[in-house]
Amino acid sequence: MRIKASVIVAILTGAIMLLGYFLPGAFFASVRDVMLRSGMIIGTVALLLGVGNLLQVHLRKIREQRPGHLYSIFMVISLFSVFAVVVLFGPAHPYSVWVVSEIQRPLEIGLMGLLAVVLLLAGVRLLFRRQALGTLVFFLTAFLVLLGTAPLPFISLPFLEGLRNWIVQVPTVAGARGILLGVALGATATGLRVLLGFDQPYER
Amino acid sequence: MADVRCPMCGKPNAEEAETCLYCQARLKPVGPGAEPLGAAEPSAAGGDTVPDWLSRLRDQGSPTPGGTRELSGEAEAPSDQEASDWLSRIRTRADDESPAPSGSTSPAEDVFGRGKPAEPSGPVPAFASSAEEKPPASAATTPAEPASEEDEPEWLKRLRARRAVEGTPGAAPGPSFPAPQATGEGLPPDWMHAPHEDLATGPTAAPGPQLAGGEGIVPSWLSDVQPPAPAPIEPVPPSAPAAPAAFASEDDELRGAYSEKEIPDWLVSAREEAAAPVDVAGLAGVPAAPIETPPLEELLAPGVLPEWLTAGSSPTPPPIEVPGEGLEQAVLPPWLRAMRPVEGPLAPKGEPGEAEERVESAGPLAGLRGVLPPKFEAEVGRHPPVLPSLLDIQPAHAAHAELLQRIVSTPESRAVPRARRRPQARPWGGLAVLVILVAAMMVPGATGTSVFARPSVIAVETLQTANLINSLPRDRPLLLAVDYDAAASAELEAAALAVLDHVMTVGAPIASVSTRPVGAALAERLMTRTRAAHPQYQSGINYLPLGYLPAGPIGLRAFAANPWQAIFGQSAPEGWDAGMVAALHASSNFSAILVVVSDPAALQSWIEQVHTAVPSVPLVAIVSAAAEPLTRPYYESAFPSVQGMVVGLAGAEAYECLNALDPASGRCGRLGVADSMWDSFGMAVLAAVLILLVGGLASVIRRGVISMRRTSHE
Repeated sequence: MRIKASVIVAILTGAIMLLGYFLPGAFFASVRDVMLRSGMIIGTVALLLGVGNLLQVHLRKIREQRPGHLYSIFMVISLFSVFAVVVLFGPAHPYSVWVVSEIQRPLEIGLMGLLAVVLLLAGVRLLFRRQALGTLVFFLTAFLVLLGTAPLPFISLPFLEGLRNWIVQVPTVAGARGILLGVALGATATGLRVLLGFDQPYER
Repeated sequence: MADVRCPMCGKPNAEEAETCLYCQARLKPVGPGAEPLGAAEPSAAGGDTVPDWLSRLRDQGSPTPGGTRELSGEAEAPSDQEASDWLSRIRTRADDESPAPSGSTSPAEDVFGRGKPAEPSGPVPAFASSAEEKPPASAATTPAEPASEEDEPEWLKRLRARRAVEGTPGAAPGPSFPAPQATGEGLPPDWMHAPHEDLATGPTAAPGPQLAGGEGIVPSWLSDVQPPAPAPIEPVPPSAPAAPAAFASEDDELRGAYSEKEIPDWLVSAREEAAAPVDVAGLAGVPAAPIETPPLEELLAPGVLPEWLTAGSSPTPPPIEVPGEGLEQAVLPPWLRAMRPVEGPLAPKGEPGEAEERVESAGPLAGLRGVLPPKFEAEVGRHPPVLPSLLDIQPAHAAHAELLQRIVSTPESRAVPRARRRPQARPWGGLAVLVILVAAMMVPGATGTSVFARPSVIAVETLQTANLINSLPRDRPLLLAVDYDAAASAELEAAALAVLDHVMTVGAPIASVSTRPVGAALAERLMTRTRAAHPQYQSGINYLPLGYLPAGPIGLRAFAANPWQAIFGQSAPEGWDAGMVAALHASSNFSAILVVVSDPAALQSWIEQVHTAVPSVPLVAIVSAAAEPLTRPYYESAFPSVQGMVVGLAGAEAYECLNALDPASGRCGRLGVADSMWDSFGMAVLAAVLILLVGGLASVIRRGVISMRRTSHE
């Protein structure tokens, strides 16, 4: 079987990083630190490459007058403007903070509020269209959690808060732990396959 | 069975076959009464094909001891085969030696397909001498006594008078060569050479068979009627060429080109032979003898003539009937008249006379004229024209045909099920929900009322967070990780501000970092809002904005190993406190790690990459309410990775209460950001609960109504 050099590099790198977690010693720590810093640099350059690719795609879209090229124009203008502000003044300058606080934050918060409205409407429509046991469970859960989360006017019902906490911390956490365990096992299996050379995502 | 050889390919074919089996050439010539080419001689030699009248003539012509009739010079009549042989020899020799004068073709020649009249060279029957041949003047037979002129018909008298005026030698003596002798067999009678019209005129009009040399048998009046006999063959003088004009011109040219002396001897001898008179009698070798012919009435008696001859020559042609005279004309019904084609596919399309003018240029018929109908090639192998276009089509029928054509020409289309009508989007529902929620959130701020009670129970994780903050040292910085999106800033900023306010109240230095590009700005926003109440916090002294940490989990791991090198490398920003900068060279120098996240994956990265590197440093999480279920396991485990949590706006409100708790009254004192949002939050959540409740009730009522309708219908 012919083994590629990239596979050997990947396996050695993974093994050194993994041993650095379990074995004490300056050698593994120093090698790990070098690799991590190199990885950070590569990741930073990859981010710049991604920004460059995004800019190229939208510039081509503008040049070829494709549908939606006006949005691309706005994107390019925003990119260069924010880039200039951050480069000139720094990321912690009030100008840079103002751009994020007064433009990006309201936009994203508005979308989040719209998501709340849409979810509420979808819940109501679900009651009309599909009247099944799952729908009833969904309705009751949402109703109790909201009622337990929201303060009631003039009164306080600790029973509702306790019920809400039980719903969130027992059945929901049980499901979340199952999901986390599945994710951890999947990540472990994937890491082992990469370390053993069965998967070669770097070859794609 | 006798085979017939194909004249084109030479292969044998059946006798009755009309076309060659191999090359499709026609074996039987086109024409009435034609015989196959290969079978012509056998049939002519066979005795079965001899008609009865000819047999009687043979009997009459046969030598009988006491008979009045006798064949001249011959004791016995030759057989059919012999007659055929000598006749063919005569034909061949006559064709070779004596070219017929132009324009002297008789009808008999056309019938037998020969170019020249046969000149008997042997025992020729008396009737074989045609009427064209002029009887010799020195014939031994005495001409018969002509009938009186009173017995002649009127038309014959007029014809004779006209001949006399024109000087036609009708009764003039013929050439001097002896008449050929007739043998009475092997040749059709002479009267057969005459046109049918002569036969149709009756016995009085048709000339009877004339025996060779029997001038006395033929009446004189009949001799006048006979067409002029061909001129006797005489030597052609060189000065009077008998050739056509084209040949004459060539002869003149040759004569001019060659003098008389230059003419070779063989050509001179050939001229002399051509100029010598043909001794037909000598060829025959039989002296002429008088032969009595049977009377014409006897020959034309019923049963004597063959059927094929009488059928085509009816003595009394049927009268021409005038259409509509005495007969009721048939009337076609309209529907049949409508179906009658105006122009059929087999209708002749050529010009009149085109068939006769047409000369074949290729194939076995090459060189023949008028054997095929016009436009024959165009019609062969072609489909007949489309008749419906030539029909007289009624408008109703045309409409029906058009409808049928449209139906046929329309492409097949399957019955596409009608697409289920999608329910139209109801923007009014979403808009109503939006209006209700916005109105609910604006009511507390507009009215200035606070009707919603503050949390009466503070969560344990919130109390643990407050206790942790209270125990922070002032010489080590607290690491603030701002890893949330701007969309979640409204909820998380309230909790973060409450915790940071507590931290600044304690006086612990703060170092902020973020793994998100906008995290640095959001961290600066948090610190800006918090420093308004704590102006002692200055950047670089007790607040170190580390900024953006790239590469995700890898950057976190590098940051856990050496925060300073992961961020800045070597040099530090100007004006920073050296002690604080030194504390950043190891992650274990942080007093606590405060992670503000909206995504559970971000908290997971911090726990796995940083907290595992420095497990002695406590980690506190400020998470949104949506991320609580996935982050709580890290807090509630036996070996928790998260030592304290503040969840959502309710946790922020609780933490503000803790910060401004009046120990005397036990009530929340100073109002924070979370408290300012509490009533609006409560109204919005309550409105959402009401909307869900109303929707649930409406759906239940609708279902009940539907079931009642079904019950009533059943």
